[in-house]
Amino acid sequence: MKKNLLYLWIKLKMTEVIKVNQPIREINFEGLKIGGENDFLGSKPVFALELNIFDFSASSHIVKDYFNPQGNQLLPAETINLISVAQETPCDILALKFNIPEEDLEKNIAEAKKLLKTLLPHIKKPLLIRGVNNKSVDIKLLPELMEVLDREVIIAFATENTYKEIVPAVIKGGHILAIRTPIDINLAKEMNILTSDMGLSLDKILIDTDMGGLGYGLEYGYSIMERIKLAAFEGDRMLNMPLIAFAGEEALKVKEAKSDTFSKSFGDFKERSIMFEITTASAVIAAGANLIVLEHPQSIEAIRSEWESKR
Amino acid sequence: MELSGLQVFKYLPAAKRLPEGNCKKCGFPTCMAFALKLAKNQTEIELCSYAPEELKEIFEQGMKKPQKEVLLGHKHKVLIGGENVLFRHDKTFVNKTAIAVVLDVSQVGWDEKFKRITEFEITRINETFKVDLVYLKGDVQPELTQKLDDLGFAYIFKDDLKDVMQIEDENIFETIQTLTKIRKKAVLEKDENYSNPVTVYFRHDENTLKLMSRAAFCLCKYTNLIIFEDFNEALISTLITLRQNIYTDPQKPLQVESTVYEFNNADENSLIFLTTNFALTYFAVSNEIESLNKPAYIVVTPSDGMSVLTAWSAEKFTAQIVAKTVNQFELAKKVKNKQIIIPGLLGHMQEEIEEALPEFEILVGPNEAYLLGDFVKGLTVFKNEVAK
Ligand code: B12
Ligand code: SF4
Repeated sequence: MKKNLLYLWIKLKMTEVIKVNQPIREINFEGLKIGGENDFLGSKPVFALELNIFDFSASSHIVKDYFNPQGNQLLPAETINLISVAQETPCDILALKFNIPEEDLEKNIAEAKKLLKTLLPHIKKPLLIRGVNNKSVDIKLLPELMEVLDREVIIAFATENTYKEIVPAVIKGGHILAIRTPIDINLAKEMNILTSDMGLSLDKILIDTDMGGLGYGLEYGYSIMERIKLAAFEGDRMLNMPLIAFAGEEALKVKEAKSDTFSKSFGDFKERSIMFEITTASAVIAAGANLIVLEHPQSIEAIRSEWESKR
Repeated sequence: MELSGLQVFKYLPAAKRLPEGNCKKCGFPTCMAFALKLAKNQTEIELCSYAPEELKEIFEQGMKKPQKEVLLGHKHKVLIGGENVLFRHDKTFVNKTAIAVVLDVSQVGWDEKFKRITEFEITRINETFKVDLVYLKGDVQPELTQKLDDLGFAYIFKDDLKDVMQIEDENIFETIQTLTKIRKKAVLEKDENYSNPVTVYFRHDENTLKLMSRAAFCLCKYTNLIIFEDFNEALISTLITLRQNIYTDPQKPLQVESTVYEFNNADENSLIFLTTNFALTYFAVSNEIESLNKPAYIVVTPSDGMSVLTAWSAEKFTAQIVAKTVNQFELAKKVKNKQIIIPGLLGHMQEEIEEALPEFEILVGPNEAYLLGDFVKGLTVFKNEVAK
């Protein structure tokens, strides 16, 4: 008996059998199913289209070309227009990044709130609201924005430094929260435990592993996503939440997507910029990302039509 | 092989207290000595005729290679296959997915395509890449293959792919499922029916963006050779970038030596830049500095191969480390212009570093290396020199 057990153990170790049996939690969000798979690429990826809604001029050149080819200064009233164009694209979720500056914080938060209030009636797609990834801004901005909301949304994101201020408002509003940790599986798990201890349901958490853009550290985020998925499939209930990846932002900030000073072998600048976003997104989907936040509608279209043709 | 010496020993006669135990017939003084060597693959199991079948089986299984390696090409060759793992973090992927482009000489404009394929060349993080293989079709004349030989390109014909499992992509979802199944069979079961490397063939597609997405999936999930009918520079350069990421060995981040690097005939009027020894970071910066065509030094801190902010968070880029590095190379003696430009992301360290390096003035550069050109143009030293 003992011998058999040892034999089994050795065999197991040798062949590195991966017991793929536990599914990822499935989040139901405004009619969308996020996660739920029990193997890599086992569930349909969900796509969010992100807009720099407070200051559109901060967007990538390809995004500006798409939404505002004339390059006009956008008036606040025109953001409604921006949103309606965005909603006609094949995204599942509309993501609004309130990219307010840190100066004059109180005033800018008040303006952001006003803007969100004006936009809400025009937003028909499921919504994601995002801060600026700066502690002193996000701990004030995100709870204030949540006060205006009239529906369940995804809030992005809380970190080790901001969750104490953000989580209570998320729980109160019944929202879903993306929690970002810096490419660290243990910290990701710890944050899920800490926030659930505060009363946040495990079914309302999205794991944001953080990531680098294509060519600039992508592989680190890629591998952490795979490792989190493997742990989840093997039954770790503190790591089996769906993964969210802000692939567009990371991809479009790298040099290849921003600068046209490359040799002709690097190809057409505009095409390459979109391709950087598509490739970053495809890679994280392959690594297990469930909700992918992108900035260019054509990227979403290109990736998603592939999946649509199947299911 | 994952068996420890002790685990192997437990199968041998001495551990089971059988009469043959420690008989020395294997040439080792004891079963334990034999087991220890065996676990390290330094001897062969056949030497002990008393070893149970069970143990032999484990070793046979362990000796099998999950995936075969295949050399493609004629005069010049490219190695594909030989992968051992499903996930790069398990160990590392070994032979980069080869990228091949079809050149069909029966098609009009093939010579133009030939030119584009052979001229294609990109450099990233100090590695230079070309198209790996040219897949020749049609009535190929010896002059063409000779030309490819001379240019240093490997080429293949259809028949060269007999030891490669071939998938023609119709639907990416099914393609990935097939690729995953093959790799799992090869790695987890060492099933010989699935041990050949795998290629995916992409037919002509007007929609280059879709093609990009499909190729990226295939590169991540288990394709050893990707063949394109189309040739698109942006697509290939982007795919090569992804390949560079996925095939980096996760156990050792690419690093450069911590020292002072000289550019464009560095002299006493040189600009001085500061960065970390992460290869990605260093080359992002050095590429820009090189193209400034201005004499310059880059001081590289010993930061365990970490990016600027990672190094800072991990306390591998402190004012003390910076000062130590700058002093160690006696930079103050080498330059008249006592200004050091630090990465914009570490702007908050300006005062600290100035305190640690009182001889120097610390300038905060831009957040991104590619903005260095404009930044340098705005510097007074530079302006003065232009005025001269
Ligand atoms: C990949 C990554 C890692 C990898 C390590 C990669 C590596 N080899 O360094 C891993 C997973 C190991 C890691 C670990 C950690 N990380 Co990390 N990581 C990243 C990530 C995703 C990308 C970094 C990268 O590779 N960038 C690409 C390189 C090329 O960028 P760069 O070095 O900054 O260089 C650019 C510019 O700075 C500029 N530049 C460079 N030099 C110079 C010089 C001059 C003169 C000028 C003008 C410009 C310039 O040009 C370059 C190109 O534009 C970033 C987040 C992100 N998306 O950027 C977080 C990030 C850097 N990590 C972070 C943290 C906190 C950590 C950890 C402390 C997490 C933890 N708790 O364990 C650890 C620390 C390491 C440790 N203790 O071992 C934080 C840092 C926060 C901060 N300081 O503000 C970041 C920003 C994530 C975040 N938002 O929280 N990380
Ligand atoms: S031949 Fe086998 S039984 Fe004899 S000493 Fe060597 S290992 Fe032990």
